[in-house]
Amino acid sequence: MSGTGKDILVRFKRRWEMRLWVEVFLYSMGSALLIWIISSGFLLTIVVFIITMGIFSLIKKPWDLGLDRVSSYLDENLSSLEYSSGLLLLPGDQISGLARLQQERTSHRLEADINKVKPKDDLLKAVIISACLVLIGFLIHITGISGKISPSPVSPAEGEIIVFKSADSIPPEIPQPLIKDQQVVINYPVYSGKGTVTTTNMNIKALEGSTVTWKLSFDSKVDSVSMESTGGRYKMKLTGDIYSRNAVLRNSGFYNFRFKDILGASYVSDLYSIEAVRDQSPLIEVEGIRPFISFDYNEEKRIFFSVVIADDFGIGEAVIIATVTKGTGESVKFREEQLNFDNTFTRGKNNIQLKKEINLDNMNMEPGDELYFYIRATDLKTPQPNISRSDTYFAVVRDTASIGFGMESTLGVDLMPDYFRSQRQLIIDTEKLISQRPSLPKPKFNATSNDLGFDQKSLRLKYGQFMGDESEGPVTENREIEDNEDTEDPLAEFTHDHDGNNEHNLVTHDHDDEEEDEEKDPLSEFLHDHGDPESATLFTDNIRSKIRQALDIMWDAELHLRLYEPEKSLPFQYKALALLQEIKNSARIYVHRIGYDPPPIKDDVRLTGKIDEVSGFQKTENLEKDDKYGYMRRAVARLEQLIGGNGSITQGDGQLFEFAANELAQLAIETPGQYLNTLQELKWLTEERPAGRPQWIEVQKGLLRALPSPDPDAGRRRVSSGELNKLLLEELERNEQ
Amino acid sequence: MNNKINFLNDPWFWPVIIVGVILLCIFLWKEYTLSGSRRILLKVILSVLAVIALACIALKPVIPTSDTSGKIILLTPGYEREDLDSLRKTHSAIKVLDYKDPELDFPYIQNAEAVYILGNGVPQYELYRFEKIPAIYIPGTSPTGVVKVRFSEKNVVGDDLKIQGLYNSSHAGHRLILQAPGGEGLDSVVLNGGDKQPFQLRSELKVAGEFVYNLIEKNDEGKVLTNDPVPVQVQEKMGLRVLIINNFPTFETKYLKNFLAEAGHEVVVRSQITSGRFKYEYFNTNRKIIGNFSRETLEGYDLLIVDAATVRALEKSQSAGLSNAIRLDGLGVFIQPDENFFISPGDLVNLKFKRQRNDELSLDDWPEINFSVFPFVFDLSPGFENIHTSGNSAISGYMRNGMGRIGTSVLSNTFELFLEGNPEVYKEIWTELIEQLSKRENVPAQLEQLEQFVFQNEPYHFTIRTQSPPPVITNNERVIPLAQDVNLPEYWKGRVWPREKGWSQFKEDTTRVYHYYVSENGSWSSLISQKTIKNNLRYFDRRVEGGEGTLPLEPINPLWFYGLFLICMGSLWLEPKLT
Repeated sequence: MSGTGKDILVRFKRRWEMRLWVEVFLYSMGSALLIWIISSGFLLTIVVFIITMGIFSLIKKPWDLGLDRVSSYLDENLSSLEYSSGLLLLPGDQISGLARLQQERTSHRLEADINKVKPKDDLLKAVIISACLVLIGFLIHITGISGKISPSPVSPAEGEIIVFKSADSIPPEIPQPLIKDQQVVINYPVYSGKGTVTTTNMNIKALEGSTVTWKLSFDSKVDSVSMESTGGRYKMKLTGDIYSRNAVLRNSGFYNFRFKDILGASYVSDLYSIEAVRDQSPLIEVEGIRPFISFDYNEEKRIFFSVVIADDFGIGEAVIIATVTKGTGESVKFREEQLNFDNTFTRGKNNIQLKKEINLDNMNMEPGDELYFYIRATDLKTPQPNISRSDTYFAVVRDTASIGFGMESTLGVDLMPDYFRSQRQLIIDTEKLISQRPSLPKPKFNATSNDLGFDQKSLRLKYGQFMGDESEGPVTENREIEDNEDTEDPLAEFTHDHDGNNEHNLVTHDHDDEEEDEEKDPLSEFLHDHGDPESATLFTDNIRSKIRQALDIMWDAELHLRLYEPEKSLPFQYKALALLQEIKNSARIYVHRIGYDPPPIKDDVRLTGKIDEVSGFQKTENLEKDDKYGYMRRAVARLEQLIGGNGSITQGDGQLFEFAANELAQLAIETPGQYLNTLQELKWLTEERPAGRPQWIEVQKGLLRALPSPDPDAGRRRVSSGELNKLLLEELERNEQ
Repeated sequence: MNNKINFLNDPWFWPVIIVGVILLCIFLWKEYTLSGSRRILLKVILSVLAVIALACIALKPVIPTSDTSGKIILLTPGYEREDLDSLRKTHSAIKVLDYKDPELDFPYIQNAEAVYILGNGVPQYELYRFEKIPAIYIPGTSPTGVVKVRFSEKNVVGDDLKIQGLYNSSHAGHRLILQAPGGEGLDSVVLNGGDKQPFQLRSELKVAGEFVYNLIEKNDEGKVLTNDPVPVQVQEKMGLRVLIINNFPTFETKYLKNFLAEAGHEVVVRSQITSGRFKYEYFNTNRKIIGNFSRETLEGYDLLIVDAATVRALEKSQSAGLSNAIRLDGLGVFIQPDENFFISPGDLVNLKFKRQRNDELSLDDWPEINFSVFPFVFDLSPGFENIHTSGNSAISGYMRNGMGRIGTSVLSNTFELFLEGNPEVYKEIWTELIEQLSKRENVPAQLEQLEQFVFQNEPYHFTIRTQSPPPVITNNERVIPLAQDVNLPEYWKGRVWPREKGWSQFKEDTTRVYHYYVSENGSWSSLISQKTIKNNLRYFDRRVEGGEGTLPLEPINPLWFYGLFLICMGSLWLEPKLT
């Protein structure tokens, strides 16, 4: 009996197992159907099916269903078994009598009630879920979302299907093989982040450097398939029933397909364009800054600007390249630094805004130093990234000391009197004196200040001379300690005073002049007559008034120096310097008016030098006139003959049209919209396929339109001058005489 | 009056005569055997008459008609209905005939008292038929459409195809379009509805060959109304051989030399570096000896570009050599001027100049560009031909000297145009100058057609001018007979009747080919009508007496002969009965 009971259990177990398997199958089938509807990919469907099958099998584990589990499940669900189904599993000879009795009883009950219990599973749930999955799939399919999700479109659009036409003059013997499937897979370069695009449109527009794979399959067997582009003919590889070819996109151009059927008849497709899009260099826009900024030495020297960088496939790097120059002329020194932006830079972004604040003090810049910088940005292009740079911006810390050198920077010769520089020297000395004040004893300080006052005075006087002012008497260093300014020491000239020695040398002549003048005209001092002021000065009214103003200011500067107040004097000195600078700039006009007058060349001396070493020279050169459209022109003329009904297309014509097509292709690459049709038609003419007048006219029209105007070029004119013309000319000449 | 009797069935003459004689013999023999010599003379006469009557029935003799055909109106296309009606009203019995009627009885017209020709008239080539006919021509309305057109049929690549014409009574809004071969529109003119509208269309000729452009007229809706062919022959440009001689190297010469050499011309440059030392440059040619200015050395060049200083320094023999090369060989000379040249151009050059104040001028062709010039302009003298003008003043030009030309320009430093970014202007200026001055290529043989257009199935009169007599001209493998002109032995005249439309050719030997275009009948209809009207007006401006024309012949009514035969036969039958 135990055998029967156990058999029932085993049967139940099998049923249970079966139901579990069905459940797993339903789940995986549902998922697989969903995927199939969405993607139409058979392989993908199989993979999904297997995967879900595996997953659900592991969850459900239909193989792991033991008899123990079956019996305990039955015990739970069938109270009539009195939890004794386990007994059925034990062999009859190993159990006690009671147990055997119970075993038998259980066996009977089990037999009677086994149909009342169902194996524990979720079959209904599985059915519903898989039905739902299929339904979802259908919904997606109906709403057309699948087309957008799917990586490969089901079939090419009507206009995109490659149309092959027979290239032979004889009609093909067997029906033309047709395109079953066509595909172009464009693998964009990794850096572009665009991944792979699959399309059925044969007119390709993709980033330079992309790998393009063409895949074609035919509905019947063909002998060979090749691709033709301007460069030549490339055979396509056959794998399975798909002909494929891949190439790295470098240049724009045109291509077409050609295949031979099994009987050797060839077919040619339309022409398609390949457009290689160049990766653009990053675009840099700098905002908030002028091209040239200057700071005074005591200003806060900060530059703030923002930069917007944009690139089509992501920016690789953006830095500021700054160069600091120190010194001028030959002693100039450069220091280059690479600065980063203040906000963090994220690599790979298409559009980025960056900010930067440059503190010139942090760059160790001193007055007179210049900073020039530009922004350099690169994109992600490999192997050579595109680099672009912004304009260069300048920042200068104005150098107070070098401000007087404006003239020298523009002229080879410094034509201004050199004592104009002494005002600057005075400032330097005054500043030095002020800085040394604590360390200097007072008398020394005062004396130096006084000396400076003297220098200031002599400068003023010389400047006054320049203006036509009379000299204010002998300029001597007026040391208050030793001399009185107002009373001139009559012995001064004879005492061989070393301190005043230099001053004597400087002004002796003036002194003498004045004495002479006084002798000549005693009234001159009172008349204050400088003669004609125009002739006495070099400057115009405006400049004169400026000089006068400068002289007044020098007075004040001198005054404070004499009063041992160099600090108070300094602003006046600066003002005077600024005025002098202006005057100098105005004086430029005069400098520029001085022209160079070369001495006249004597004609009789010309060509009379020694010419032994001068030798004659001969040169022969052949310059080929490069006619870029020679074949196109010849094709137009030949087509006119054909259109006029003179002859038919020969083999030579085919070649001519092919060359013409190559020339036109160059033009068409630049403007494909305009010439592509003509190129297409011209291509057809190169085939053996019979063409008629309408095509010829169409091609001729297109070629004529594409041909540029010939360059202006002189040529020999043809005339027919017969006897009559000659006679006429002779007669005219005779009459003239 | 023609004394000879004519027969309609002239070819049967001798057979009929022979049969008649035999018949007569049989008659006479029969009479003689039956009735002997009685009244034999009468019988012979009757027999002869009967046989003659029979022969005449067979041969159908014709005699000139005695009277005129009266007045006739001959209608040609384009006649005015009113003219016809008023003529009919005036002459009630007038006959109206259509000139285009294929069964037109021309002898009938020839005998008319007066012929009124209405409409556009008789085609030029058929006017001779009216030589002795008293015809009065009444022209129809002036035709609507293009009535005059002028264009150069023979051109060179780079030339402009310029079509000038006159449109008669145009419709406002209609357009005239010049179409390239292939149908691309090149240029168009909108008609203004005026009575007579002159028009001009132009397009650049890009390709060498024989082409047919089209002049089409479209109405406001774009419907093509007329389409007339404009046949154009375009030849390749011929390269030039240029010699440049400079006293010292200049930028002007450098740029000019580069421009010419890059265009593929043969250029030889000799510029003096220092005394006795020269720089020779040969572009697109082999080394040649440039000795002095002898006619022999200059023979190989089409153009000499020389600076004024060199011209001044020429020795007498050199000057003579150069002058001969210009006068006799047709050498062109361009003189690169300097200030002194304008003041005294020298003996060789017959040009005169006058001072002006400007340093800069704009040319008429490029009003927006200022050209730097010497402060002179040409003083226009008879025989001077200008190349570039600025307003009324000539900027560049030349004088003919025998076969050749000597010219110059007051433009200075034209190379600056290059530097200023106007290379096209520079090239065009020099192209014009060089082309005008250079030696012409003498075409040894040429086809000249008397009429502007040649039409299918109409006679085509042409003249071949060739210096190699006698030419043998073939057209479609058939030799065309040519007649030499009496006065000008190099002119040979011929005539063909072209059957096929399109480009056709005459071949002389195997080398020379003359192309001509045969237009379809009906094209250029307005123009042809206008021309026919003119020709007819001219031709019929004369007086021919009515009825002076040859009288037409008419067959004698055969009833006469039948009657005569019957009488003769009756008499012969009756005669035995009477005895």
